[in-house]
Amino acid sequence: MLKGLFLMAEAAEELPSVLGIFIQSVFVQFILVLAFLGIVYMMIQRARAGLPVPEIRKIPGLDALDEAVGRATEMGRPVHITPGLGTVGAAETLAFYALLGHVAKLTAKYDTRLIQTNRNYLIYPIAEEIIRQAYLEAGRPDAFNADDVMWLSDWQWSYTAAVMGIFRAERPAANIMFGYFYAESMVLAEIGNQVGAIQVAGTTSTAQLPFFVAGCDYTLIGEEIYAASAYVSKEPVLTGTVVGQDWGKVFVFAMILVGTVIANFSETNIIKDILNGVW
Amino acid sequence: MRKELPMFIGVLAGLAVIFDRYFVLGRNLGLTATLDDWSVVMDGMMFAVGFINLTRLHYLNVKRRRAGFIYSIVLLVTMYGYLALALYETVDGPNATFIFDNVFRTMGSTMYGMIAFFIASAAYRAFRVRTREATLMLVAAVLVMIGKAPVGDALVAGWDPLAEWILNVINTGGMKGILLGAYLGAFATALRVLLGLERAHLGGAAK
Amino acid sequence: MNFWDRMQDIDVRIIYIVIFLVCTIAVIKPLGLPIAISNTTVQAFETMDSLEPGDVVWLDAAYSPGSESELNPMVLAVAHHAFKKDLKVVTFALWNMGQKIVQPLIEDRAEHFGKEYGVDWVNLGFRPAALMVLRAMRDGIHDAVGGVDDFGTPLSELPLMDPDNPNAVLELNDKYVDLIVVFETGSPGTVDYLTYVALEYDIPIFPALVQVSVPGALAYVQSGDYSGLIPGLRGAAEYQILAGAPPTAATGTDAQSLGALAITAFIILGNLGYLLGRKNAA
Repeated sequence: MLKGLFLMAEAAEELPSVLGIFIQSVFVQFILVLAFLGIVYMMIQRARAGLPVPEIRKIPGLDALDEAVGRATEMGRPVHITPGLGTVGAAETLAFYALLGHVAKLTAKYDTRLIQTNRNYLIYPIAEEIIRQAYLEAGRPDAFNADDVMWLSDWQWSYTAAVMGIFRAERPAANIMFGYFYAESMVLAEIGNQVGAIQVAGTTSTAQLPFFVAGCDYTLIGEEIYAASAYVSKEPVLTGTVVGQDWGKVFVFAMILVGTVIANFSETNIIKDILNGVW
Repeated sequence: MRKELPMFIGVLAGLAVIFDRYFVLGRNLGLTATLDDWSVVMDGMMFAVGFINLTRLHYLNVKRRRAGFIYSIVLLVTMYGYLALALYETVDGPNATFIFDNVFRTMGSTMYGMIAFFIASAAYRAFRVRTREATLMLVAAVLVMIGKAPVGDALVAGWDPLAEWILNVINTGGMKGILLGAYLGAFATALRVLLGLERAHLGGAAK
Repeated sequence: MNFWDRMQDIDVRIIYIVIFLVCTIAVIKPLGLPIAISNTTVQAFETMDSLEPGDVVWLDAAYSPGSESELNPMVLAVAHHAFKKDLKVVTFALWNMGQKIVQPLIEDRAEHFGKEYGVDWVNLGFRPAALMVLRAMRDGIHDAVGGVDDFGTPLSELPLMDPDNPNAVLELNDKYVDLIVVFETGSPGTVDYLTYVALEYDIPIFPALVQVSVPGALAYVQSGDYSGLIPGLRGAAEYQILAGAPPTAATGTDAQSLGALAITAFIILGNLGYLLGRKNAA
């Protein structure tokens, strides 16, 4: 860091800048980030203040969560939930944490066994704490079983083989897969089918979505998993960010339309040039 | 402080990355490079934490004679045995390489190979003409599956171009929409962490 | 339960046995079906073919043993092409086993063309927190990887990486690297190279992907971010044909063809059972 400060004067001449403060090649991107931040923050404040905020449309997969846990309760079989192979700080895993809390509260309320498996050793203690907290808030701290929160292996296929073994032994009636998945998605979905579990899956991994669509009863596609945490918790913060990101999408679509029109009359990619600070 | 401190560190790290990305001074200070260096060290440390955690879990399994404790013994013996071997002769040593090539790689390929069978049974079960959407999915799946295999063009000339068209036009349009939504969603989630509003990973609901 | 009802509910073990048999038959007795070359493979081939002798190709092995059957033929084909054109090759691995898997493959092609390790190609291996190391390599490879290759040999002893050599590869940017090829099965992978290196320094890049990742990657080909793409096992066979590499992927494509036909047959049977079983019930 000190070395960087020392070199500051020299390096500053190399980087084209706006007002000598912002890096020119990413200046427009920074403005867009601020604009997006502003929209999201505004929506969060509106939601918190109880002002009207657009509602999140019905997502069948999320409505099915209650049904899935209820089914497991009736059958006397456990619920299985997993965040897949995502990393601890990934956006999909953050969405998983919110959903995990919701499902844990349901299982605490219905006194249904919840088995939570992990591939990432960093997610494991976080998940354990979330479930413990959820059971505490549901007034059932005695029902929490730390042995049912497992870190199985850091390796993709060892983890998958371990989950297959758990499914054969425990035969969960509900399988909830929420996060970032790789090739094991097909195996997990199929093994869930073979034990007769109702399956709700959600991922942003475009390569694995077809497997979930084919193998699961309900699939949340892409950004629906980010909406899931807002949908189940009804937290104003989360609802506000979902609305904010939808406005972001509207802006991007507008840019696509404008860019498409311009592309028909010009050979240069003006939108790309502006975004990259080429002017 | 148990929740506030990690949140504060997360916000600080996020601001450092933003500062490095968009500001001349930030770029010159090399904040992201510094964070990357720390991250490399932390990654190693966390691996050690995981190693210790795994040992503890499986040791307890064996000690309490839980169901399947034999597999815990196998895991512990394998884990420490391979560690000892790699320390003795390095990971590129003949025995370590033998175990890697003939046990680990083959087992990984076996697990991956299972997907072929599961795809077959999942496709057989899922692709039924129950609804219009399901029928469309079925037709597209069969056209692309056969078209992208060499047999497609061998059976019917022009099958591959049709499959290419489905992939390049219909599929890519849909994928772009999904990717766009996913990236914006991830961005919004990152913003929540940056604003200190995301607390689910700290064991609490969002503020 | 009549015949059509049974067709709706075929035991999965029968499906598994049929798939196993058709794939085995294809491997034992290859069909030799002709393979049409797809546009994305041609684009990738031409991107590498446009390089001059002495240009540097950066290969990344972002995959694990499970995907070997699909990606190893691509590594062979690309390495064959690179050495045939007298390009210099630097290998890194974003996944922690990739470097061990590609080493013998690249070694094989290097020996075939009389290329010397350290002079014509180097394997930098894998480093923990690989993405951070990737970013750090933009400013200096030596410091980022700890000054040694995958075997612990100091980079200063390898002419291709020795700072005293005016033609050495010292940084992962456009001053030293002319093309990036990523053999990828998931994340981290090509998108990370695209984000941190290719777009930043305007270096051509294309992925060699497992088939399931191809639909998601086509968007990047269309936008021009990727200069082509090698799609799955069939793409490997196509590139092997274009580059004149040993045709190790062709047998697999026959198994792919027969497997696809078998799955289609089961789907048709299941739907016939569904429709005719429903009709009979009505």
